[in-house]
Amino acid sequence: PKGSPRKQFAPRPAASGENSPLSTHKRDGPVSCGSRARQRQIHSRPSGTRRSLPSQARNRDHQSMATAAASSFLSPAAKFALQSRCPSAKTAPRSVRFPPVRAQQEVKEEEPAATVPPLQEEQATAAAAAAKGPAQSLPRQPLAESKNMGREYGSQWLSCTTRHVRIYAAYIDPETNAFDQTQTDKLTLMLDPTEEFVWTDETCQMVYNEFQDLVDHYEGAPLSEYTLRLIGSDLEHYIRKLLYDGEIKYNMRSRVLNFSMGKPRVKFNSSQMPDVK
Amino acid sequence: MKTMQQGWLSNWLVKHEVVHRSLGFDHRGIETLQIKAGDWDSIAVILYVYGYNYLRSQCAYDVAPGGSLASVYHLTRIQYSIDNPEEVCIKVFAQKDNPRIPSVFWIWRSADFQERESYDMVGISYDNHPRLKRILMPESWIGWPLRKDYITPNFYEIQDAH
Repeated sequence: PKGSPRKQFAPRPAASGENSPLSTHKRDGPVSCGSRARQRQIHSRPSGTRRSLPSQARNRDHQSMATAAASSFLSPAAKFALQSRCPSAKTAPRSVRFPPVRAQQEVKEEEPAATVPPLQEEQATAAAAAAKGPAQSLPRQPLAESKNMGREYGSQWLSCTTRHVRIYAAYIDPETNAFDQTQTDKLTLMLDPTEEFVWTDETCQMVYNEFQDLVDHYEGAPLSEYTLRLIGSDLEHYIRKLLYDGEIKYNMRSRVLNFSMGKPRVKFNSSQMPDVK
Repeated sequence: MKTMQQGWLSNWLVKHEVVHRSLGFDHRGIETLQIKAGDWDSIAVILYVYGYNYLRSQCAYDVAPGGSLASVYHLTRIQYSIDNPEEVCIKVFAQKDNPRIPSVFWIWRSADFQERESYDMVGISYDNHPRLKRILMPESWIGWPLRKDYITPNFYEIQDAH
């Protein structure tokens, strides 16, 4: 049975309990018009020696086209797609693949390719991790369709949803909003859809890197809502740390301005947070 | 057998040489017994046959960190013209490393959800329960929340007011 046509996303709890590999695929969907939408797709591996060329597509309004062109570390295969007045404009999807078993094999394959002599595996992966650049997204799949969303599958998906972080264990296409639930080896991150904070490329990339690190850290854990919630909570704590350090700030033009991560205070930094790392 | 007061049930069990421990009477005068998990199957049937047709409540708690888990059954008799029905309270203790207690679902149906909640919160698994799974926490939860050594993970939703 094929999946039903795309529906509105309404996060509902689901449990699969499968021990499938975790990979991440991220994007960000602002709701308000006139807000900037970032869209990127990158791919990286946790034992990360080789990575495919990232392809990038962007949805921006006219004001931010210039800054889009100027950003440097994104792939040269950038594609710009303008969506005007699209309330569900999406941003950077990104996927990281790290199957718990295959990672070991990939490391062994890559070792001859890397210039590191075949030492112990830990040293090889450590060197590879140090050489790894910033987190990038998996390539986009233009032909993806919504799958496994119908009632016969329970209309459920693995997700963790808080205000600023939405993680789905599926492939969500950035432009067509196709929700492919069969690809549970990818995680999609939607960063701050309600635009409570002001995000720049650098701060977005910091969050993406943190997401990548978290997903690597949780590699091998069962793919369940519990794990996704742990990842989402750690990411939210990281965003709060960014806020307290002054890297990001509240968006004063958001639709719901309720300072959900603390009212602005004077002379306050993240050393006063109890759970900062 | 201890020197605590013993009600009729305790005396009856002594007469039939069932190893148990009388825990005295609680503040309402309800006799409390401790029964081993191995005997609980048969004692439950005996009580049902005697007339305790209503499992008023079933709960479970963690006795002490590093101690055991307790499953408590509160039984009474519901019948037409009875004003003060007899009540009895049974406690079954289980070790923490492998807590298994026979389920009384097939005797008293009200144990269905209550044993699921005991399983969810404290981790006692009830043998022969037809659908023993988590009922309050999400299905994929890890850990037994009402144990005394449970530590809540640092979820973002649990936050102090600003």
